[in-house]
Amino acid sequence: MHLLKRYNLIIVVKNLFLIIMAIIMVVPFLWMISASFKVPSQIFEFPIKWIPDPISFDGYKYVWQRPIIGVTFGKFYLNSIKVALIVLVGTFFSCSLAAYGYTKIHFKGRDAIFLLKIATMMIPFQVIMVPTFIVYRNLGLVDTHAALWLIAFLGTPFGTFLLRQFFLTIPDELCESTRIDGAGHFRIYWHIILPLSKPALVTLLILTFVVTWNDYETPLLYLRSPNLFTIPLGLRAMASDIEYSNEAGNMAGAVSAVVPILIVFIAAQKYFIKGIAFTGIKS
Amino acid sequence: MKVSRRFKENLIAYFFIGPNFIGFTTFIILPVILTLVVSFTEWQFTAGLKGMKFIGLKNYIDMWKDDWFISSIKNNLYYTLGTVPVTMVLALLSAVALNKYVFGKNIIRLMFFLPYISNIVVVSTVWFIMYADTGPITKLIEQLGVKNPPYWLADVKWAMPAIILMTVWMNLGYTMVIYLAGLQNIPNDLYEACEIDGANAIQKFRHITIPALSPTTFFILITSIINSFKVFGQINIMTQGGPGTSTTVLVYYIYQAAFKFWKIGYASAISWVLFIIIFTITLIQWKGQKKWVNYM
Repeated sequence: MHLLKRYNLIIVVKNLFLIIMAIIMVVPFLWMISASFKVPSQIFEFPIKWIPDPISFDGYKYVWQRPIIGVTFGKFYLNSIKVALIVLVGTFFSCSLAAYGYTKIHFKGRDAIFLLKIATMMIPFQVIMVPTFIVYRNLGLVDTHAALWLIAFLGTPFGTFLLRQFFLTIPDELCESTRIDGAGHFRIYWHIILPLSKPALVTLLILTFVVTWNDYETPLLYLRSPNLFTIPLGLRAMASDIEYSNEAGNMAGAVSAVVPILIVFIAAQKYFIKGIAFTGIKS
Repeated sequence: MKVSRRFKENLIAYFFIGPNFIGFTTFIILPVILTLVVSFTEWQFTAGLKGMKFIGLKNYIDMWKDDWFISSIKNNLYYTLGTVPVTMVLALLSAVALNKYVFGKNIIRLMFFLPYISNIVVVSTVWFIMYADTGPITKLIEQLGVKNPPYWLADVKWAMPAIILMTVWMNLGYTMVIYLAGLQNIPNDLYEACEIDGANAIQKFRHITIPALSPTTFFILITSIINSFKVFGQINIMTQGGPGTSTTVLVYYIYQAAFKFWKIGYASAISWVLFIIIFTITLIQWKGQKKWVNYM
């Protein structure tokens, strides 16, 4: 009886801790949503009134209708969607082709090249930020969207690695038998490997989408013209516009930036968690 | 016939991996070499290659006399020590609590994950307003009876803790998910065997969960430390390294030196210092993986 009581106590403490933590995680978001519908004078009211009265759409109007820095939020959305789509297409082909090359074709120097590639994976972007900027500048890519999607067509280190690990689990015999039937590498790649790798491809594309959609550093380095800005950079530009920015507008912008990614996450939570777990296992 | 087939095979192979090869040589290996070369020069960037002057190790010597650089290293260490242990402990406890939790597990996990999938600008913008002197965090602390609540981001002493608090909150979900994956790999028989021996929940946590999770913990520790040296976004958005130099961290200082003061050579030298720090941590990971980790 005593033991049972103690056991229950531990469960209660555990669940209480979990629920308190979960509430702490969500409260800033609830505050953000609530503030985005408030009139400016009520945003800092304390104690916090969670359901605004009156409900005001001024923040959203400000963000979506009034051109700030010459551009509205709709343009940032279009830019983000455009960049994300191009990056997804690039990542899909470049990473899967390279991963196929590293796993299913035997050629001279394959292991050496792959080792070199693995070594480059650990070099963080921040270390090479300065010279990369110089390379891009000489290629004439500063202040173009190409600066944001170019490397996606050259097989990102993480994506190639993830797909390679998956392709390794597909038995070579499967490809060999098709080869005897006279199929070339392109047909094996397209008709056998890709269809078998759907889960890995979906995981990669979802992770890539989230990373691209949320990327702040790359656009900050390369973009100058507001009409090219993606959502993170646009939101930042709006929030730091001293003359016009207001808290309700900033919060409305923040809500607008989060909604698409939230939908993607909820729809594909399974793949997403798998991908995150993979990054934890890959070492 | 055989030779030409192999030749053809190689050609196809180069087509498959060619773009990838060009990618990592042009955009990773070349810049690494460039950083090293440029770090030994003083480069008037606007004058093109003619503006490059070889000055040997001067950049590497000068930086240790540069107070701004020194404080960026100190601040970075402060940030690392402030974020990494707290995030790991909270994430471990949350993961253990969530692992056997039944009701609404996915929703709770989503709640933890929200900050991680929102971008750094959203998170920073929201917290920036919450930290304002009229914002809810300050008001709450006043309510709890503190007479002179800190000015958070405007206060030399409190700006870094404010950034740390927000970052712990932001990274918790990601760390927790990795811990959850680790927990799922612990075989249940271990716990059952312990229960037969009469072990209680705390003993099981100490003698099974923690040792069995040691590979996961080690991995998270290393990647979190590495990530803490890459911090940039929240600093750039919320404090711009200030007030004073109180939140200037390494990457932010590199960014400033390169793109604000256009001291490309100097920024490259600091980049190499950052590289050496991260490389050393990675080496520790390779060595330590065998020694430290208890695979049971």
